[in-house]
Amino acid sequence: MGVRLKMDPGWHSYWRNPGDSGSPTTVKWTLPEGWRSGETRWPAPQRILLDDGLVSFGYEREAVLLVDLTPPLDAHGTVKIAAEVSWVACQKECVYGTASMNVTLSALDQTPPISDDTAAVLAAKEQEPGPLQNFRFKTRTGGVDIVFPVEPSAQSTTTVMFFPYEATYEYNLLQPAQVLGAQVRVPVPQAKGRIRGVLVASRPGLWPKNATAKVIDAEIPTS
Amino acid sequence: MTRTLTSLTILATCAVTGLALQQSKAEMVKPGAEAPVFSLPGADGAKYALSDFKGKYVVLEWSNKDCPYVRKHYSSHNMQDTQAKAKEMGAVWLTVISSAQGKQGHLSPAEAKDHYAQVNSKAHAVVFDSDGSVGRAYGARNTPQIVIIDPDGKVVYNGAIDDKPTADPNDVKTAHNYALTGLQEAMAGKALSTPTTRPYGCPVKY
Repeated sequence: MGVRLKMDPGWHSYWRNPGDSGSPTTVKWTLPEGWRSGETRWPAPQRILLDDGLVSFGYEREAVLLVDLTPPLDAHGTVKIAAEVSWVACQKECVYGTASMNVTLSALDQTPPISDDTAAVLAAKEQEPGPLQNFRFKTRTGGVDIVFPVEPSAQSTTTVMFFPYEATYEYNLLQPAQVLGAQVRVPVPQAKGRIRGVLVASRPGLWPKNATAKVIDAEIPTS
Repeated sequence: MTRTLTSLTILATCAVTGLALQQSKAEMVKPGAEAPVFSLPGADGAKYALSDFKGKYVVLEWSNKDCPYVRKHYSSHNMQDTQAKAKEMGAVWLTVISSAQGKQGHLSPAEAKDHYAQVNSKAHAVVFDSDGSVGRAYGARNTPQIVIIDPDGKVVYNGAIDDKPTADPNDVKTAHNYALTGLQEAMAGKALSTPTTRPYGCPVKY
């Protein structure tokens, strides 16, 4: 299932970690008996710089939040799924919004035609960041660098930025890093213990299959 | 040639702006530090200086009446209740508006007086920091943000009003109020269990 947010030009909504202001969009599901909902899965965020050195992590234009809904084994017929969505969107000012959505699902014997919304959900699934492979940590004063190899086709002007899940960072210290040779070294000041977040590239080409984001979740080795 | 020069200029400007953005971030005044002094005009026309309240606890609340996170706390009456309790405890509560002219939350004295009376504010005064200097001195990043100053003029708390960083008024019921806990602990002569938190809300509209 997907929740598709469309922002007017100039407006942005927020990622799971909103940065220095704002708060994540929330989705509360009302499901038929026996159905279960998984956690919201977030597309790769972008960095939005505000005045006074404040940084937001979120989405401009459009974002599709994904969630797995698991029907019970004996599910059949037609079911009604409801979701209560609430969000804060900001440009120069901020607004709070809520919406109640409904969708009716039927068990079918054949694949239904793909609508524009279905295509957006499929595209979001296609772009979901997978785990970062072959990386290592390099200690630096007050933090670490995440170092990983990139595809030979990577353009040197591509940048990569780390977006943390945890709210323990000064976000203006997180800066994009450029490709150097066949690798990228993304500095993460103030990193200690477990490092969890997403690495987002400014364009495809670093990783196979046109991926532009990778998840990292690892303990920093104590040396 | 002109084109080359132009793009160079733009690049240089971007680089400088990036640097400025990174450096200009106001550091939040840390608990234990001397509270920056101020003297600000109130919505009632009077002047309010920190030095007027020596010997008392002072709570500063950054506000922007149209910010959804501020509305959350006023529509649920949580902010007014917190203000009233702080007052009962003998603290002086100042609502600070650092919104610059033309930005969200900026109000004329008459508008501020009207609005905060209408929402039944229990603050001692609403004060204007239209040039943002006091907000920046305290490192006020968000609305709402709370600073508690002790009778000796030292900051004892700087951060969020509570531990539910959302814009949903329903969350107030289950939230832990850092402002009240901080005041209670400080007045009981205890070290604060949570002297600083990451504030949440809208960015202050400097």
